Amino acid sequence: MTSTSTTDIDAIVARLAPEPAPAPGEGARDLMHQIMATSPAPAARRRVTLPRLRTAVSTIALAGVTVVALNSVVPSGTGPAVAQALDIKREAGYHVIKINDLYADPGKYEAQLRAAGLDISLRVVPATAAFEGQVQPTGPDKKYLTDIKGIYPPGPCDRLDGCAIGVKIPVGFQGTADVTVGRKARPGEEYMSITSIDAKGEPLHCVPHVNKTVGEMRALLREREVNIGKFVIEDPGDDRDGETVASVPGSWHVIGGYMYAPGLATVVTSSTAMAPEEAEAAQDKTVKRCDQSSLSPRE
Amino acid sequence: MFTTRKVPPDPEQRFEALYLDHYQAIATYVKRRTDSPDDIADVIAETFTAAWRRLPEVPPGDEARLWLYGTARRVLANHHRAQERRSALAARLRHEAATWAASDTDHTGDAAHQAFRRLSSDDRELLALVGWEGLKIAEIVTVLGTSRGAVRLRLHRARKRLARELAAADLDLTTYGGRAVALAEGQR
Repeated sequence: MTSTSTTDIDAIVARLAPEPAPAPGEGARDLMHQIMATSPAPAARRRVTLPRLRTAVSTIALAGVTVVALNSVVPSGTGPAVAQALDIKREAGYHVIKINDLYADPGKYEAQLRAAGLDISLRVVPATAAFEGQVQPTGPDKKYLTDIKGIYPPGPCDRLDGCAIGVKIPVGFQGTADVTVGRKARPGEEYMSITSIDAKGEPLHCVPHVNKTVGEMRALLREREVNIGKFVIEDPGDDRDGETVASVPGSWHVIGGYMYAPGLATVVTSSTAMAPEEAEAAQDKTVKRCDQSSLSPRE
Repeated sequence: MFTTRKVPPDPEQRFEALYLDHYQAIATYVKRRTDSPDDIADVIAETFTAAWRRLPEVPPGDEARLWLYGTARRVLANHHRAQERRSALAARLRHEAATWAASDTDHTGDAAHQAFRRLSSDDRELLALVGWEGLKIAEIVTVLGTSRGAVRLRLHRARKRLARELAAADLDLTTYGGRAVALAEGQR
């Protein structure tokens, strides 16, 4: 074979190449942030990953001016039609925004926001319990914006990221923003916003579960009407390390987990148990987090 | 207020750079080997999740792209065996990926495309790594984790087999260049 004929064959193959995928857009950036927020973080040693998982999640949740919670929660299928997807008012130097229809076409939100002179895109995504009502405002560079604030009612809040009832944006706000709001998922709908299964508002908040067997974890979750739908293997000794599988032996050990749909959890597991001191450290972390949960994250 | 410990030494920054530098190459690689938008999104998600979790192992510079190709290739192979898996992470990307195929040229009636499809998946993959991803032999060695000699030999054979398929399809190979005809005829 001559190199030239090789080139011809390669050129024929090249001509058959399907179009490239587009440059990273919103979906790709979402995925990037979700990977960092919800997967055990990188580590040379496996066992330091769990605290980092929590750290990453907490950071994402708290770094934002994150805000909000919503005015109305469920769309009424049979009730009177909602005239406007959003309720936007000007009060005391702010645009005060409440979401009337959590399931509206995003174009409707945008049209209303533009009409109010705001270059803001609003997305309402199905979120796990801890993030229902969460609002994350970000700028074009994906950094959290501090100009956009939540409106918090007085009283206790049982969710990780606060229980705001609206968003307020300074009337003079000149920038561009992308605001993501978490809503309750419909039955069977997968969450687009997830966090650690022991975060405030999640099923295993204040419930020790790290290093338990998969069988014990299954029982703990069943008591809370949660089934395990998927397992992630985190086990450098296993050639399926990092993969998501439908089942693992009941004797395997739990590293962590998250809810991915109503009543359905993904559990991160390993074939081997943690060393006692590591398990203890993980346990301490759960307890510490639990003790702090009487405080609102906004206080 | 929850206390959060700073994660040393900025794995987030490194991952963001890695992701943004190589996302398009990896998304393209996956898109070209998978038909279903759901699978495309899942495989991209799983590949970069692996990169995040194994960040200390990911080599610097352009070697990272080869590492990611190799990982995506392995994820794809496993994914085809367990297609019921759906990542909770990639919901929005999945939605976007559904529109990606719209811009593709339809090659299905193309005899060269049919000849290519008749090759084994191993042959197609080698030829595609050269023709689609533009990789050199040394780079393919890294992606496949095999020896240089093996890659050269397998690539040589794959090219010959495609030339033979093209000839067998009785194509007017002049469309593709006289040397391809010569190559195909040389194999008879």
